[in-house]
Amino acid sequence: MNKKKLVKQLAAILALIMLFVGLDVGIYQLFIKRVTSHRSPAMQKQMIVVSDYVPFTGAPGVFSCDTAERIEGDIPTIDGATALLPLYAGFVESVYPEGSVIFNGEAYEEESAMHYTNTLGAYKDLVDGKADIILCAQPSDEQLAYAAEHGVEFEMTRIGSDAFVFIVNPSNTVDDITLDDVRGIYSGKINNWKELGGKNREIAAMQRVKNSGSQTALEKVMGDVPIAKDYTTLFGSPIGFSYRYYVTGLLAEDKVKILKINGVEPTPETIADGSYPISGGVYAISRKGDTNENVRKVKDFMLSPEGQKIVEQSGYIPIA
Amino acid sequence: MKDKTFYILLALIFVIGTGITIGMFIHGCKLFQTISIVELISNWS
Repeated sequence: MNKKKLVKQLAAILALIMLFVGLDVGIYQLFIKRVTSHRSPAMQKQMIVVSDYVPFTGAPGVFSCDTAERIEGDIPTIDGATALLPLYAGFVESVYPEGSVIFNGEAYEEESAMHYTNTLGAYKDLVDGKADIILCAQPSDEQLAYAAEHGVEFEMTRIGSDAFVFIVNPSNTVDDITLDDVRGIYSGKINNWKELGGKNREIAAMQRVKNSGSQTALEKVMGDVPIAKDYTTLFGSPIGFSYRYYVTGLLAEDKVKILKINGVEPTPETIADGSYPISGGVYAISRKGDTNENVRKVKDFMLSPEGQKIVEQSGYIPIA
Repeated sequence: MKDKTFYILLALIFVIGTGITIGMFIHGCKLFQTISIVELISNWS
């Protein structure tokens, strides 16, 4: 047998194996490792542990008031954004009748007076009449248009605040950006961290789904500046956005860094005094003209000193 | 090694390698749909 030929054949086989190994290691390091959650499957699905926020169960995440008058009769269905679950769970436990909430261990039953969907689902359900009060950030233009198409007008009552925050990996050396930088990043004009004083790495500007609460907040920050298409650069370093308490409280995620905006860190104090430039309102939203008196009673409770205490205890910023 | 054996081996490695690579990619895409941006960023150093 030709020894030289055998060596060539073995080298070709080895080269092919190494090619696939290299490819798979690359896919693992640049893709699989980044998208593998360190949370349990249940947490991954729900993002937060829903059972920590079920009213009337002694759940640890629910803060309520035991002296408020409970509503009777036509009980309004309440729902809201994922990030505001502790808040409406606290309000429900304070003023709703105990038997009105039906949680089956994984989700709320259809006939329950409290649901837990998300911003997209909550706005749609409010318009469709499947929810009567929702707790969310401001609606997107599409959500307003959907309401208008169905002859519904929103009655928005601000009950608290939270900060809209931008987050990066802690390995990113940038700590502070300006609102103009945010607009530059998400319009695609700034695409390398070195332009902001960081390392020479591309910026992977992550976005969320259209009409989610935080994507709508980004659109409001951008104003008239068009948002570039969502893109992910494999070798870059990411930036994303969320709400402060969702990151620090509900997810308790300590492996991300929240950026200062215009030199101001989002703290309860800077959000309350308005020095953090992009604090977002937390709203209780109902249909204008809803004749159910309990809708008004529940919203009045949210604005009462007891209700505002729940806002604060749940991790958000009460209105002044 | 006979040429036929060599080519069969190459083809086998190619098929298995491609299968594993595509499998990993599909697995990654499924994970990507369930992970939150917050956790993705925490994983992405």
